Amino acid sequence: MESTHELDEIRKAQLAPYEASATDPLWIWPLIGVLAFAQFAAWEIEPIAIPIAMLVLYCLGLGALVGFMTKRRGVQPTMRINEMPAPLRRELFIFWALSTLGSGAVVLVAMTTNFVFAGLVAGVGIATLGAWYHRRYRDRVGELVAEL
Amino acid sequence: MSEPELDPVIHAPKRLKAMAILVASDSAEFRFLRESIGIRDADLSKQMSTLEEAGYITIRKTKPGRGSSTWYKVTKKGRSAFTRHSDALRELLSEPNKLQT
Repeated sequence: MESTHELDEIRKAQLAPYEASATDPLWIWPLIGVLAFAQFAAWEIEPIAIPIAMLVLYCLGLGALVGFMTKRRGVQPTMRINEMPAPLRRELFIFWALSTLGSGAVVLVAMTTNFVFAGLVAGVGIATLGAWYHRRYRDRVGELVAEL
Repeated sequence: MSEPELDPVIHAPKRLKAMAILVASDSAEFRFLRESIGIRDADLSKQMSTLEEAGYITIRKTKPGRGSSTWYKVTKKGRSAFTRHSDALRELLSEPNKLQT
């Protein structure tokens, strides 16, 4: 009986980092959307050094945001697929699939129209789909915690 | 077939919780572990030192002074030890008579 309790405690503790990341504020998505828009739209500007600088700034911005969130919550959940609870692993696959499809769509828009419009599509897409995904992830983590 | 072996370093409830959190994290900060496990600062420091001595975790302190923090990360050895320990627990549960020995 004591060991059953121990196993439950292990499961509960292993969910703690995911619970913490689920409480990240939703405003990060519009912010990433704005950064993505600026990065894409910059490809319409000459000389080439400007969009390259914007790309570097975009990467630095994302890195700073991840660093800020990690410091804020005090933990960074592992991205090791095998260590993740199965329902959250599925959520990660959905995130990757959405990101791949979204990136492909934005590249297609950029090739058929222009980078400013593609940036707009990317920015709005990240802000809305990101926030939607985040709520979905929050619900899944909540369900897992409730199951224990 | 060999008996499932519980790791005496990890088996203590506070250290077991700490290891479970660290295995599910890339890294975790002192404050987060303290609040998640629900123990005092001194106790957590002691438990984490034991895990570090066993080579199960690494400790990284950021710059000293205000805003300083201590981050913990599980090592490869710690990850394997934790997996072995939780597998042993599950095995013991699937064969309850072993718990009485």
